[in-house]
Order: sequence, then C-alpha cells, then structure tokens
Amino acid sequence: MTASASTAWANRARSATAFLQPPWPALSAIALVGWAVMAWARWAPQTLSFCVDPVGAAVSLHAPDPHLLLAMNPPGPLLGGWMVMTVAMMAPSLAHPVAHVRDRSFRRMRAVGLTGFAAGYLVVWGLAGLVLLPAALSILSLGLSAWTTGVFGVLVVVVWTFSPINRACLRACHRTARLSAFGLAAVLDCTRYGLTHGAACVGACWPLMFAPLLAGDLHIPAMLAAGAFGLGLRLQCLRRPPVRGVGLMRRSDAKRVSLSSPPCAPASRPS
Amino acid sequence: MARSWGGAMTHIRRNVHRLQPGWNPAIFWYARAVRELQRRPLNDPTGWRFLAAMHGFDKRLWGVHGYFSAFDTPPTAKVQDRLWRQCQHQSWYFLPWHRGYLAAFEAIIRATVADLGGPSDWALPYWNYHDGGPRSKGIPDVFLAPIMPDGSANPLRADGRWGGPNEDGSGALVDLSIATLRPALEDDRFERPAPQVGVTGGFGGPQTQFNWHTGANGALEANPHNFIHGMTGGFQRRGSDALPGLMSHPWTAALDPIFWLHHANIDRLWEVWRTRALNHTEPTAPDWLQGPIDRAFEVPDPSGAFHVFVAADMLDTRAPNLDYEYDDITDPLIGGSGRLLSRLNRFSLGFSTDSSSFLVRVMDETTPIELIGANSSAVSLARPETVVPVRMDREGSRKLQASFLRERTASEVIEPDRVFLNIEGVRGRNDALIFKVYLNLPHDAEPSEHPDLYAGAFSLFGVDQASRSDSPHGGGGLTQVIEITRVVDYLQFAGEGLPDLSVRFVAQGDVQPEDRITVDRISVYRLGE
Repeated sequence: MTASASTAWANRARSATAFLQPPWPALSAIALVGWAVMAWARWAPQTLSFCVDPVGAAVSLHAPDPHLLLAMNPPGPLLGGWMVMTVAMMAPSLAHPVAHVRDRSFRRMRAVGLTGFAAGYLVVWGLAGLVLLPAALSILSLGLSAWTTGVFGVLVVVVWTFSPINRACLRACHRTARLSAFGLAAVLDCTRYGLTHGAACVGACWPLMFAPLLAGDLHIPAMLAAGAFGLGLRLQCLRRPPVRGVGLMRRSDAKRVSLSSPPCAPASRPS
Repeated sequence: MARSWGGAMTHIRRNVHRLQPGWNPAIFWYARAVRELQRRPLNDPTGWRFLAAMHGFDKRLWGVHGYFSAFDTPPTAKVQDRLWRQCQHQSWYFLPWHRGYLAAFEAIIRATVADLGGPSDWALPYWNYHDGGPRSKGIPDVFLAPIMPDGSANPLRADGRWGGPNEDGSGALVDLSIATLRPALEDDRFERPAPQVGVTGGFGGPQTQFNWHTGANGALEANPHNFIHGMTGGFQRRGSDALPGLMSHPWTAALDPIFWLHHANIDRLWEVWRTRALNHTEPTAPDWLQGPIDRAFEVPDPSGAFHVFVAADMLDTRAPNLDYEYDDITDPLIGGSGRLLSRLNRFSLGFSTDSSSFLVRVMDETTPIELIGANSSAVSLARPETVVPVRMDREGSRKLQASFLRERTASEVIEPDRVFLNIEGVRGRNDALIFKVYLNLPHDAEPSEHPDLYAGAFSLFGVDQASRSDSPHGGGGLTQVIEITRVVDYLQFAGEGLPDLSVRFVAQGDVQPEDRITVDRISVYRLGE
C-alpha cells in the first residue's frame, strides 16, 4: 500500500504524545503563562506593551520629537513586553537544552543550573530586543499601512528562513554544551550554555519575533503563527548541508521521482 | 496491492564459516553478482555504488578509495536527499532500517544471480565471529583471494580493508575480548527512552527520530557491531591524517562486500535476542512501529522501483517482503548465569534451592537515574594511554554505598545500585579507533594484568560525521555508555568503596594528536532508588 498523506498525518498525531514527556508540559505551562500575561496586558497597556505604537512613530516622523516618541513607546513596558513575548513564543522550543541541563546536573543543582541557563538565554533575547524594537519603530515611522508593513515582515521571515545562515543557526541550536557538574563552574557553564544557545536561537528566529511587531492589530495571531512555525523549524530534521538548504518541509509521502530512464515504477509499501 | 520484494519461498541464511571452504556456490554466485552490480552506473538504484550510498556517501572519501570520479553522474540533490545517506545509527531504528536495507540488497543479488544462471534460492550468508570455529574470527579466505576460480579478479576482495591483526596475540582479526555478546543479549529492554544519558541505550537503541549519527549507541550497535566495523576496516596514515578503511566509516562501509555478511549477523543477533527471553520484545509505541515520521525509509527492488517501509514491516523475517530465516539462532549464552543471578550470587544474595520464595527488586529501566560524579574539564585522547580523574559527589556516593549495605529481608532481595560510566561528547577524525577503559588501575600497572578493573571498550565508528558542525545535530559528537557495575562491585569487595575514580583509556592502535579525539565530559550515573 502506498503510504498516503493521511497515514503521515496520523503518524504525526500519534507522535504528539511525545509532547507529554518532561520537560514539555512544564515548558508549555510557562509559555501559557506568557500568553496569559499578554492577554491581560491588552487590558492594561500601561504596564506592558507588545507593539510599538505606529501612531507615535508616525507622529515622530513628521514632527521628530524624542519626548513624544518615548511617551508613545516607553522603553520599559516595551522591553518588558518583548521579554514576555520571548517567553511565550520560545519556551516550547527549549525542551532539548533544558533536558540537557537537567540530566547532566546533580539533583540538588538542577534548579540552579536551569536558572543560569534561563538567565543567559533571556539576556541574549533582551539584547536582541534592543536592536529589533527600534528597528520596528523605524519602519512603522515611515507611515506605511499595516498591510504593507505586515507583508514586509512576512518577506523578512521567508528570506531569512531560506538562507544558509538560518540553517547554520538551526544546527547550532541542536549543539549541546559541556557542563561542569560541581560548584560555581556548573552554574557558569549552564549560564554560558544559555548565552550560546540564545545566540543561536536569535540567529535562527529573530524574524519570527520581528515580523509580529509590524502586524498592527494582527499582532497576537501573528505571534501565534510565528511561534508555531518556529517550533516546527526547531524540531525538523536538518539533513541537508547549509549550501543546499532550501527544503524546509518534508516532501509528501506519496510523491515519487524518477531516478533513471525509463522511469521507476511507482513505489509501494511492502506489507 | 501488497507486493513482495522476494519470491514465495523462505530463504535460509547460513553461517559463511560453516559452508564448504573455498568457492562454495553461495560465495561464488555472490561474487558473480557483486561484479555485475559493480559495473552499473552510480545513479542506477540496483547498482553496487547506489546501494552503498544509501548507507552513506562522501565524494572525497569515495574518491580516495577509487569509487567516485569526475566522470560519474550522481543522482540529483533531490534524489540524494530522499534515498542516499539513510543509515540509522544511535537510534531505535538501527535494527529495522538495516533489516529492510539488507533484504532489498539480498533480493537484488538473488535476482542477479538468477539472471547469471545461478540458483534462484540464493540467500545472503552471515559472518558469525562468535561461533568458536578456528577461522571464525577472520574474514573468510575467499574474500581475500586475488582471483576467482576462472582467473578473473575477485570482486569480493576490497583494497580498503586494513584491519588487524588484533592486539590479543592470537593474530586473528576480531578480538573477542572486546567484541562480546553478553552486554547486548542480556539487555532486556529494546529501546531506551530519553534522556540519552546515564544508562545504556537498550538492546536496539535510544528513542530518536530519523537519526544520522549523533547521540548514544544501542547495546548491540555498540558491541559487537561497531567493533567489527573498526577491526575489519582499520585505517592507514596518509601523512598525519588517518584514512579510514572502507568498513571503518559509515560513508564507505557498504562498499566492502563483507559489510553485508557482517550486518546479516547483526540482524541474526536480533532474532537471537528476541527468542532467548519472553520479555525480549520490540516497542509497541506507534512512533517506532510506524516510524520514522520525519523521513521515510525507502529501498529499491530488483526492478528499480522503490518501496517505503516502517519498523513494523521488519518484525517477521518470514513475511513475504523479507522472506528469509537463519539456520541458527540458538542462544550463545545458554547455560551461563544471567546478569542478575551472577550479581546476586556475587553478594551472596542469590538464589538457592528456595530462591522462588524471594521477591527480587531489580534495578532496571524504570528505576530513577542520577548523576553521581564527573570529571572537571574536556580531555584529549591523543596518547596511547590517558588517565582522567573523576570526582564523585559525596551525596551520590553515600546513596550508592547505602545500596550495598541494604539488609536482605526474609521476603525480599533488593539489587544494589547499578553504575554506568558515560563518555559524553566524543569527537574526532578517526572512526577506526577503539579504546579500552579501566578503572582505578594503579599508576604503573599493566592493564592486561587487571581484568577485574576492565570496564569495557568503545569504538569511534561514526565519530567523524557526529563531529561535524554542519551535521544535523551541530557536531554534538557521540556518547558512549559502559556499565561499570561489575568493577564497582569488585571495588566494594576490595574495601575501596567509590570515593573518586581514575579512568584510564587505552587506545587499541596508533592514535595520534591529528586524530583530534576529545571527550567533553566523563561522568558516572547510578541506577537506583
């Protein structure tokens, strides 16, 4: 019987049980907390901000006033919102490194090691926010329509996703680090691992965090889509060398290609 | 409609060293068919090189060995991505993928044999290095002969076969003090769930997706599979670099005709394992049975058509798609005491005639795993011998010690903790190397004089690919896990306890700094309550 697309989807559904294994549930819970905070913040925008304000940016373009720009986009809530956004979107993709830290630490050191890793990881994303947030603000200050900036964001995602640099960064995401087991060295190694893994993660996923900033009212749906896409990228099997890295999605099970002339007979699954 | 790769009869795979010596029909027709396949172009799915590339391919290595030139036309990148470089290692798909791969190869050879006028029931022989025969530790003589009976060049003789003789003094190729059966056959669990650290990977390998060289080996893959690859292929120095023999590197291994007989034996050992104990069963998880889901396994049939298969298709060798069985799957360990019984007897905890009255709590895969010691920094294995101190955690050592002092009750015996040495993140450029590992050897001691302190050995088969930063897992290297429970038991008896460990790595062969063999971390895990 030829393996059908429906079988492939059934297999994928069955494999979803893997997401019930630790540390997936804990990371999913952390991500959900992030999403909950963002939902709450929509009703309390003075606390956290998840979008640069296009109105403020546009005003600033036509009447450049740093005071007004900062008033419309206060750095504190903006950066705070960025960090919450990072947690919500990136936590599910951290199962592998989190398990690496957990399994290579003494039981009594696991919490400390994971804290060090998380600190290193978030510092890198925080630094990325210091670049990406002003960049988004600059684009929005051009006064373009939300549709135009949204399409621009999608283009950035597509171009970067198909780039060799992105493939190299994704491979770096899969690389684990040596972790000392004892004392301060263990904490430092975990923190260093958080920094290096964060850097690889920023290299691979920065457009996925950047594009929703440009999505206007569709900011939250754009984040959801980008988060799911990023998780898929993180989990995919990276077989191709980076120079030929154009295939992101697995080919259809049913698709067959000819190797020689005459063409091969249609493949079938033995049973 | 269901299709068969083979015919209707069940074919019998036989021990090559028990066949008639010399050019018996099975070997003669194998050679004729191999020659025919070797004539086919690189992009012919039924050709020798295409089939080998399905296991692994590398332009440079193939070119150095003379199997690839500028005049060859490889398939398109798309076809290569789909069909080449499929071999599964460090994975619970190691056995099912190689079974499907071998069956496809066997069907193509059988069809070719028939086309050449040979027997239609030809079956792939296997190389059982453990059968105790005087010649079994070596490659069959006909694989070394320069010519066939008709005076033509022998296609079974491969130039890149540089292994042996081994260092056990016997002059034989395979060192059976390293390549053993007990660790694999006594592993009661087929797969090892994540995490892939701490304990051995199960008989068949750790749970993975489609996996191309990274992580931890399954028990059968680690031993004897990997060792036979390295012992057969060996390597040659080209300047300071090591050029691996064909069998020593996964990218070239299937180019050597002996590869297929070696893997037939590994496949046979899967049958031995599953029939030697009632609890030796394959995974029932859909992820394994219907896997992998991230890339399909595909193999050609004699017509060149491709078939997709999943692990579930590989469970019955007599099914039409496989259509073979082995002439001998008797348990080579029969009559000996198993792991648990040996250990309990070692502690005078074991069974006597009234053994059935005791409940034995065993440290198995359901028992928690805990890190209890590690070394301080990455190490290089650039010298013939390297000693690495491993510091034990006080709390972990105390728990371990307590498990040995546990009182036996009237109704229950609890096995003391099991202990595992993890050699994490092994990277390097010489797949053929093998290292023996000893624990707490005195400084000036000769390792071979201290068998009680011998923990085990590990092979670097696959390390080159696993070390490359452009590999799927970013060059994370291999993880080697050796159960050191027996040595720890010995140290307990000797009154030394387990304060700290001194791990001595003894290279089997000429290791050089240019091989760049490094280990991220050496750690100790306990399996206990």
